[in-house]
Amino acid sequence: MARTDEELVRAVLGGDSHAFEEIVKRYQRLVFNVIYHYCGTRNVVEDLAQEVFLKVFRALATFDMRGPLKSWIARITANTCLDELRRNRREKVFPVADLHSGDENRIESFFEQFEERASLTEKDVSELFELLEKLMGRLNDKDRMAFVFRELEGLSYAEISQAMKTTEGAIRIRVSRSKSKIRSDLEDILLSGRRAVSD
Amino acid sequence: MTDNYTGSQELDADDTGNVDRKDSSELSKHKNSITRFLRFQLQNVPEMDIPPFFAKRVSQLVHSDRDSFAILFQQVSRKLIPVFMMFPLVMGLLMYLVADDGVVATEQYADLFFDQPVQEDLSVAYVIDSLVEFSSEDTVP
Repeated sequence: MARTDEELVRAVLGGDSHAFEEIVKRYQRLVFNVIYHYCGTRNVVEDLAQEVFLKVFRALATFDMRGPLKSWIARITANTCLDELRRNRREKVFPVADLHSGDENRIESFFEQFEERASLTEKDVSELFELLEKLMGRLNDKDRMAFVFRELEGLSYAEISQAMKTTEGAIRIRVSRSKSKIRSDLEDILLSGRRAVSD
Repeated sequence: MTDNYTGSQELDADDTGNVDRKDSSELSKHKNSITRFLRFQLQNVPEMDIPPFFAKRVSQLVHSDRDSFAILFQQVSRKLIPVFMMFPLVMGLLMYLVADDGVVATEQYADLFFDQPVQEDLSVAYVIDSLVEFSSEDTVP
């Protein structure tokens, strides 16, 4: 029978070396995907995920057993991602990518494929995500994090509010604002294309 | 409600009354389509492959990190063993060297710490007595 999160945390604190491995296995998918979907590049994911779990281990003694471990790990992941983003901006490691005309043409072509119900290849899906990532890049850091947690990782509003240390209402606003912004940017691209064609 | 209904057969071909509504309907349809496209994008985000043995590697790293202080202490102690062994030898040698000059050193220390400063008596009677002594010393017996 699988041990609960609380039992695993107590076991790690008691010196059980296998218990931490179990915690990593349980939450590695969440951590990897949040980092990948938030940072948008595969290169940094493994290093950052390792950093997240090292932080988790070092801070485990301070973990409040009354709260869920998932939200706590999500919080550490979010902070690590935000730090990485700030560091990148400061050191200009990855310049902030924005949509250019070629990207807009690709979005239009994907949209037509989607309307014609044509199937997309794995490469198409990956490319679509890159375009979505660029649209998400226009959001502010915290809106983007709330959006990733809710829309891409499927966390509940309660879990996100614990992870981002704010109220559920604030998270709902952030997610809704992000969706509206992305949808309106998509509309600008796709409707301007239509208008240009009809003109 | 049914009284206000206008059947399509009653509309003229050049009736433009519903064009705006038709346009707005087209726009709504298009916007709906965009919303579905966005939903499709969100449902089809690629996932990250987790490298094999990631959990095991992190677990080992974490425990090596925890043990690193103990290991560092052990390494330093191991390096310090010859120093600890040499310490009594060096101290013994130093004591031996100091012991060679021990007499002089002890006297000097005694002079410094135990001898009281000499109080010189420069009274008139003392000076006269001294002069008397000198004069008697000069006399040849």
